[in-house]
Amino acid sequence: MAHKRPNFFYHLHPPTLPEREARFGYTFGLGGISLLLFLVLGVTGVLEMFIYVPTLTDAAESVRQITYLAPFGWLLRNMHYWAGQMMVGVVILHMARVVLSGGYKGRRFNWLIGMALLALTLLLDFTGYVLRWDQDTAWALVTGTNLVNTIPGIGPALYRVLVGGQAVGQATLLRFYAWHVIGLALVAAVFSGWHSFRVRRDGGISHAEPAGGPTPRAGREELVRTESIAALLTLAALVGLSIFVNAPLGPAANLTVPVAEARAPWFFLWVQELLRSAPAFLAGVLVPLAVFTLLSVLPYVLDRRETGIGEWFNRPGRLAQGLFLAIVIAVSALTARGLLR
Amino acid sequence: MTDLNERSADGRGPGPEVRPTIVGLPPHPDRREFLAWLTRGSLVAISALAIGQVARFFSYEPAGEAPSVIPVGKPETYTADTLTYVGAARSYIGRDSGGLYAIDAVCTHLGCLVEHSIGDGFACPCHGSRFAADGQVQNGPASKALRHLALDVSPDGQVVVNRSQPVAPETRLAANS
Amino acid sequence: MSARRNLILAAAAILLAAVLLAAWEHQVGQPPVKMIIPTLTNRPELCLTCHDGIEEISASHPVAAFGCTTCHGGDGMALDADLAHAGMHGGRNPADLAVVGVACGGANCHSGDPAAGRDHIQRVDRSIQATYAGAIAQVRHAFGAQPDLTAHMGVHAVQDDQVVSPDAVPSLTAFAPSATDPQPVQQFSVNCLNCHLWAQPAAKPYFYRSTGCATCHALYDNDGLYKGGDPTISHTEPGHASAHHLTTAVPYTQCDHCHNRGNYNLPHMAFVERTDLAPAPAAETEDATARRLAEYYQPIGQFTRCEWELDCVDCHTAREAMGDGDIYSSQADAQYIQCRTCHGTLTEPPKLAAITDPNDVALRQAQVNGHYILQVGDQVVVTDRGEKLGQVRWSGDHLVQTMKATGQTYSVPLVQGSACQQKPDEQASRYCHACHDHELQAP
Repeated sequence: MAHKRPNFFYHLHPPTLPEREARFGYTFGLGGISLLLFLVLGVTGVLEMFIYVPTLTDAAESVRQITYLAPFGWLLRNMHYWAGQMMVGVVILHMARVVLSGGYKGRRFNWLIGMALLALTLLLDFTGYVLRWDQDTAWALVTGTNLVNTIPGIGPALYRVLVGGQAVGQATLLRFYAWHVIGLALVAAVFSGWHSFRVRRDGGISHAEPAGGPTPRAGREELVRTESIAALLTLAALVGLSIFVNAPLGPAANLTVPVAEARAPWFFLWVQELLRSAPAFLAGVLVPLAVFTLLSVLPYVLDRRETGIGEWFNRPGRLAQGLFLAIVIAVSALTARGLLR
Repeated sequence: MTDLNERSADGRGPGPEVRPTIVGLPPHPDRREFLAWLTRGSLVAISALAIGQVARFFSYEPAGEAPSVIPVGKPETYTADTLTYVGAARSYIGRDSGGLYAIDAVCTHLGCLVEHSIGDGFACPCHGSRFAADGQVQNGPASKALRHLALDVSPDGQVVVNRSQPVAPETRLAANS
Repeated sequence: MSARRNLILAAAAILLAAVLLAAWEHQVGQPPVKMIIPTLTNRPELCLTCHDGIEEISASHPVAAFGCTTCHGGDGMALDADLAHAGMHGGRNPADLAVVGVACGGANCHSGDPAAGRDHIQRVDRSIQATYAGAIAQVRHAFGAQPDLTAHMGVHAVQDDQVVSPDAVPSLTAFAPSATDPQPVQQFSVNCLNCHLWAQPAAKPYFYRSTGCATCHALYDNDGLYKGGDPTISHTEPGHASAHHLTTAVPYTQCDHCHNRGNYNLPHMAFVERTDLAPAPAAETEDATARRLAEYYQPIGQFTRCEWELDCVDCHTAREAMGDGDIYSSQADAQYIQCRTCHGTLTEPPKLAAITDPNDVALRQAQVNGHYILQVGDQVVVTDRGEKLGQVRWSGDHLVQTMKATGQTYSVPLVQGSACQQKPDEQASRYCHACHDHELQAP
């Protein structure tokens, strides 16, 4: 009997894939969950755009209109916030899965696209944080943009482009709004599509090729079913979290009043900890760039062998895996220290 | 196991004699169709409901460069041996035996506003820099002292702070208390 | 395996549906939002959503014009308690003297031009009830820490650029005893700094009160319980005003939250509370007159009938209690009302003044109080220092006193033409008490 022509959604999936790699316990669906969270962020974000106003006088108030006045506004804002934070966690776990199972072997360009997506995710989270314009986030914006100022040579010019003037103010808020809703989001959407396309073009999900001939394969319906289960459970967790834990909101920002406690967003706490003891340019610009570069060149420098692909804790990649885990532990330790202050 | 890429005799796909055992599909067409109809129907119903709530969300209807010379009040309001924070000028105004002085509250590290700690000196809440009462760095990632800013008296008798004009730490504005 | 897979899928779908239902319930279960847009700020406020039923603070501060955040600060657009209350001036009490300038101040409000009578905050800051300068000066002098009885120190440092009275001082420094001060003075600073407008009260019946301007103007019942309509304010926890209300109709019970509560024991540098009253306030059913007579003054007090039938505010003037702008060294210098101000002497009737200016402070005071009516053209008693007592009005043929707290009227008997045997130079109240004390038979 002839195969039915697949709809677009089925068409995006490979007709079949190796059964071993189709199981949830191989990839944990992390890439797919990231994509789902990105879509949720897009939908909830666009809905918030109907009320949010990116001006100094109205930003904090419009966030409260969403949170307290608009029907289900509280749910949209909480889902947007939690999907964002979950996405940072999920993409890092996805990266860990790729490193620890040698998934980047033979597909190093897609690894680079993935690193770009990591950077975009963190920048999207940071620009989004700033938009709620309360005392906690406004000072994070001041410090973060001042870090750019410390870059020798192009620093001050880059700062003015970023800030839209000589000091953080209305122009900065508007620019960060534009970056967040379209500038970074559009690039991230395109890169997400490219990243997913490259998976197919590089031969489907990274898989081991055992010596004993062709392996059993699963059909796309099976894959879609697994994805659906993961999607439903992720959404249930997201909505559940959004009902019971509110997205944080502090007193409206006032850049003429000092605050008793200034905390960076949780994913930059490690940078804030470094900034306490090392010079600003080193701790705030060079070290994060170095970490990012190190991770990017893992498959180019530390694990060039293509053997061991699709194998968890494969031997050829042990150096890369070790370095990756060391970086994760270091960043986690710094983050924990920042949290416990 | 069957290789799905294997062509049947006429080349159009797996022949009728090869029934591929694809994992995960129920074998009876009518059950399959029913489940598909059920799924599609539920999705339509849920989408309609969701769009309805989104419509409710829609139904809600809601009712330049900063100056660098900033007036901070009359000289008499600043009493001897006290330090007063003035938000509009983002500086601490103090008075000692020589007269009035202004210390820039913007931390020289990464721009947060420093707080006046109990006793003398200032502390920055962002990365822990500490400064002495005269602005000199005592501790922390900051490497430059807090700036002293130029003070002047405006024609209508108010003290003004000039944030774009740093002065030496010993500079005082002689103004009666 | 596919059946199990379908089961998991169905279960996941049901889980999501359940969670979405929970979200729906949460939305539906939220109480309706109450929003006001006060005309003075034009920014919406949601405070009344939770504080639904709270009383209007006063007729002169209508919530439709002022809203809540004008005086209280805080975040009017938040519905989470922590966020809504962040940045409130003075927590529950914006009238505390530490924040009153921000909360109640302003040229058109309560820190404006003295000539227009709008300088309440400046006057209260320098008043003896806020500086406690008299007690501090007396104790320091008594134990050798200062050579004279002139006040040099107060609870907080204050300054007066325009000293009017010859008894007043130009400034006070903050009272901070040093290790070199005599021991009693140090003990005084630990035990006895409880009765001034900055001090937190003892948390017991009869003592419950607020601080700052609200010490007098926010009435507290003797049991310290809130009896108003705001559901978020506890009705069982003592330490609340009886209602969210500011008033100038202040009964004696309010003054007695500090005054007439006991006596100082200087050798022990301690406050000894009076013991003649029941530990808890009396029930409403008891005889009100007998209770008033028993509560009003301590058993050691000497007073006439009008001094317990009227409230304190019916005689003691606004400038006495709130300050007249000068910094005084003792209560004796600040307090100046005498019996003859209303009753006159054998040779002179009480001094009257006519109200001619429609912006007269006395007219505003009458409007704010609400228990007595004054109009332009009315003649009222005026004190030696020029203060009009609007509640004592010449009706045409006799002098009428209206109680500020209740509106009850009294006809004021005049000394002139009576059988009173007073001497012209003995006008202090103790001379009147010699014959008119309430325990003596009326002469």
